[in-house]
Amino acid sequence: MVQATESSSNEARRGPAGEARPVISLFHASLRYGHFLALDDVSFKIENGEFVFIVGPSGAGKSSILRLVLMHEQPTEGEVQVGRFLSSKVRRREIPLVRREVGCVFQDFRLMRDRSVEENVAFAQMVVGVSRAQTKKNVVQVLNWVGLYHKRHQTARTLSGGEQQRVAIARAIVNRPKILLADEPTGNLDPEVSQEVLDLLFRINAQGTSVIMSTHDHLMVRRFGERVIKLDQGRVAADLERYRPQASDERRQIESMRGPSAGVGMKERSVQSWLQSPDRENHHA
Amino acid sequence: MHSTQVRYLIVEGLSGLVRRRLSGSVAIMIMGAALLTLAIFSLVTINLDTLLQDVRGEIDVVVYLQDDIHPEDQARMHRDLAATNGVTFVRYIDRDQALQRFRIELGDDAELLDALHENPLPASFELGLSPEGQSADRVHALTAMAQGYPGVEEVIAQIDWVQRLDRIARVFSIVTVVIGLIVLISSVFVISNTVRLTVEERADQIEIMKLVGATNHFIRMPFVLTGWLQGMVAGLMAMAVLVVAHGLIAPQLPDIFFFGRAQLLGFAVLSATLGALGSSLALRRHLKL
Repeated sequence: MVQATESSSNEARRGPAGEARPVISLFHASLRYGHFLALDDVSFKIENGEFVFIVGPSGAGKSSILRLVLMHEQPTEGEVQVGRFLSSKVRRREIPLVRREVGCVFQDFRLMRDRSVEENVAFAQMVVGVSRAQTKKNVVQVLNWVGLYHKRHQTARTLSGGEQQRVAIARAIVNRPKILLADEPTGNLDPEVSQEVLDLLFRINAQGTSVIMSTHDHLMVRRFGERVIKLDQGRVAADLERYRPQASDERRQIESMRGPSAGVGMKERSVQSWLQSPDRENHHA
Repeated sequence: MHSTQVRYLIVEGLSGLVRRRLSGSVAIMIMGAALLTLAIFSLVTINLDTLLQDVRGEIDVVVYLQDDIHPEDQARMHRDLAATNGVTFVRYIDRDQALQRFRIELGDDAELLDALHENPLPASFELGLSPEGQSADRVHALTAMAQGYPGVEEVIAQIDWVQRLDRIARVFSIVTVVIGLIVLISSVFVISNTVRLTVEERADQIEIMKLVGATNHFIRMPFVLTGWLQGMVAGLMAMAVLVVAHGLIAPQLPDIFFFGRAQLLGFAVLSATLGALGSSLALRRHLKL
C-alpha cells in the first residue's frame, strides 16, 4: 500500500520488492529476419546510471539491440524491458513514450540539414509538446552545454562532423531522457573529435543518465574501464564488468576538475544543473 | 496540444501544398474532374427519376371495350381485374364519360365534336398498378389475361415506353454508383500518390520525429492536412464549374433539379475527406512502428 502511493517515476525504477529495476534488460531476446538470425538468445541488464559499450564487428547485432531498445522491432523470442515498458506488453501507441525515455545519437547524425542548430534541437521539444518559452530556455542551456550556443543560427550542414554530432547529442538530451543510446557516434569522426564526443557522453553519464554506446573499435573501449558487452554473430561473446573502478572515478574527477574541456566549453556545474534539474522527473508527466 | 505544435502543423500542412505545386495541381485537377463527373451523373439520375415519376401518372393499363360487350362479361371482368395481384384500382369509364373528357381535353376545339353524329369513343377500364405490378412480366400477364375476355377491343399498356425509360434510369443510377466508387477510390489514390512524394522527401524528418518520441498521430497530421486541403480545393473547384454550367443551362430547362448549397458543400467536404484519407494512406508504410 506504500507502493501504491509512490510516484510513477519511482515505480519505474523499483521492482515490486523495492529493489532497483534495471533501466534496460534483454531476456533471452532473439531477432530473426527470415533465415538470418540477427540476435541469438541475448540476455543482459543495464542498471540505472551505467555506462556500457557494446562492441563487435559490423553485423554482430549492435544495431539490432538498439532497434529493440527503441522498440522499432519486437524480439522474435524473449523479452525486452525499457524503463517501465515490456516489449511483449507495450501497446503500439505507447511506443512513442518508450522513445521519450531514450535519447538517440547515430553515426550519421540524422539532423535536418537545412535547419539551424537551434531549430534542430527545438524540434525535439516541439514534438513532445513543450511550451515555446520553456523550449527557448532549454535550448539555450543545452546548446551552451555542448558548446555550440555561438553557432545556434548556423544551418546544420555548415558545421563540422564533430559539431553536428554535438548538435545531435544536444537534441538527444534536451528532452531529458533516462537513457542515451549512441550508435557508433564516433564512426565518422577523426580521433581528436571522437574524444570530444566521448567526453560529452561521459559527462552525461556522470550525471546519472545511463549511456549505451555501440562501436566496432574494441581496442578503444577498454581504455576507459567501463562495462563492455562484446557481440559476435548475434550472441553475447563476453560481458566484461567495469574494472579499475577507482581509476575510472579518478578519470571522472580529473575531467570535472579540468572544467571546460577543449571545444566543449561549459562548466560541469551547468551540466549538473541541467540533468538534475527538479523538473527532470516529471518532465513528461 | 501546444501552440507551437499547432503552428507546426499548419505551417507544414500548407507548405506541403506549396512545395508540391505541380503534382499537387495535377492531382487536384484529376480529382476535381472525377468529382464533377460524379456530380453530373448524380444530377442526371435524379432528374431522370423525377421525370419518370411525372410521366408515369396514375393510370398504367387501359382496357378498351367493344360497344356490344355483354353486361355480365363486363361485370365479371371488372371483378377479376380488381382481384388481380398488383392492381390497385379499376375504374370503369363509359362512352359518355370518355366523350366528356375528350371535350375537356380539346377545350376550345370541342365544337369539332359537334360535327359528329355519333360518339366515336369506346368504354374502357382504367387500371392502376402497384410498383411490384409494374414489372414487365406482370404487365404482360395482365395484358394477356385482359385480352382473353370476350368483348375486349384492345389493351394498351403505357408501361412499354415508361419501362424503357425506367430501364435507362436504372442504368443511370447503376452507372452513377459505379462512377461514385471509382471516384472515391481514384481520388484517394491520386492524393495518396502526391502526398507520398512529400512524405518521401520528408522521410528523414519523419524518422527524427519517431526517434524523439512523436506519436504517429502527430507525425501524420500535417500530411493529412495537406491532403484535406487538396481535396477541399478540388471539391470547391468542381462545384464552381457545376454551378456555372447550371447557370448556363437552367434558362433552357427551368424545371431541372439542381443541388442546394448544403449539398454542394457536402460534395466539397466529401472530397476533402477523401484527400485526408489518401494522405494518411500515403504514410502507412512510414509509420509501421
